[in-house]
Amino acid sequence: MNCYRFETLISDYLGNNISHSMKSEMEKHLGECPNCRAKLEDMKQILHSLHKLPKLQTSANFNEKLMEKIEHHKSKKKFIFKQFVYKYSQPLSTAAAVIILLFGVYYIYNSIFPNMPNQKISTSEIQNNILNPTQLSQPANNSINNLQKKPQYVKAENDDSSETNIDQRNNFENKIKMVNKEK
Amino acid sequence: MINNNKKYSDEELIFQFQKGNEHAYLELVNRYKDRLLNFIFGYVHSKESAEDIVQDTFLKLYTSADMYREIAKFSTWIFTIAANLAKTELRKRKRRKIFSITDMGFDDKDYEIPSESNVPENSINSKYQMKYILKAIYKLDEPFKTALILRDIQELSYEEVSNIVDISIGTVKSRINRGRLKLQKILKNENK
Ligand SMILES: [Zn+2]
Repeated sequence: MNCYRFETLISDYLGNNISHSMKSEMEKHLGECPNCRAKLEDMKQILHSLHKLPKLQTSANFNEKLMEKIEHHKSKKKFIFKQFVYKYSQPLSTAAAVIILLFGVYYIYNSIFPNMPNQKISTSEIQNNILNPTQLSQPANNSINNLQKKPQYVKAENDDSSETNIDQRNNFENKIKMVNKEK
Repeated sequence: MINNNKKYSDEELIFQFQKGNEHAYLELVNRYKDRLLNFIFGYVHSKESAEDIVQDTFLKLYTSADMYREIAKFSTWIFTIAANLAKTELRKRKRRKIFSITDMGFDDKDYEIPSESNVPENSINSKYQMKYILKAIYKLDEPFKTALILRDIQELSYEEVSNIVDISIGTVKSRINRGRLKLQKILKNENK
């Protein structure tokens, strides 16, 4: 073993990271070479000094400063959230108003026309639904109710028209019967 | 509450903190603040900057504790965060060109060398004065210096150094061996 080889292995020797055979080779060289002996002792001293080196210490108020930083970070996050809310407050409130308005309209619509959707159609309701439009669209004297309730008034009218009314009535009754049969 | 902190490993503390225990966080801060300061000082050569970076490291620990997974040792993880922040700081300085070559030198007043009475006896008997050792360390080239600080001053394992510096264990070993020999040469020349 030469001095150069010995030098490169000093750290491994001190750290006990070498094989037994290598170790005995190095120790053999140590016995022969005062230079390398001195070098090894020197290195031991250096490593010892490094381990014992005075360490820097953080300032006394380190933790306090850190907590302030953390609080600042938290409030910054909150601030960003606030900014977001502020920036979008107008569109957000507009959207909310529109939604409330839509619900309001829906509620009023439902209270005016209750049970409009999902309605079960009964025979009498079909009668109303079929007859009422004719009532509305035709003059009062043409309606069945008027024919029944106000016979005198009808009689005063043209006979032909009352006949057609009776025909219409029969038609409606047939329709109702058909619907009932289908049910 | 953590009453007897010494019972807990670093990893147990970070898991406690992940569950919301802020006492565990403070214990980690107390365990690592000085070690990180000495480590970062090796990069930025100013106690003030080093302390700022250590603060940022712990802020990151606070905000990103969820990122920690059991696959890494806590020490490796926190040293890596600190090293990355230090490197970012150095890049910023380079861009701003604040740092001149002379600033990179070691300054006595930065390092609070204790008075003789505070130095342990066995180190007074040592052949080398602390001051010379410190100056010699900061004369080392960057890769040797970092490896040496982590291994011989911070006393981390080769594996931990390898993870922090992101090089193989073999390279860490050779850097440390060569760094020590370089240090020895610098000291020998200064003591002549
Ligand atoms: Zn020799």
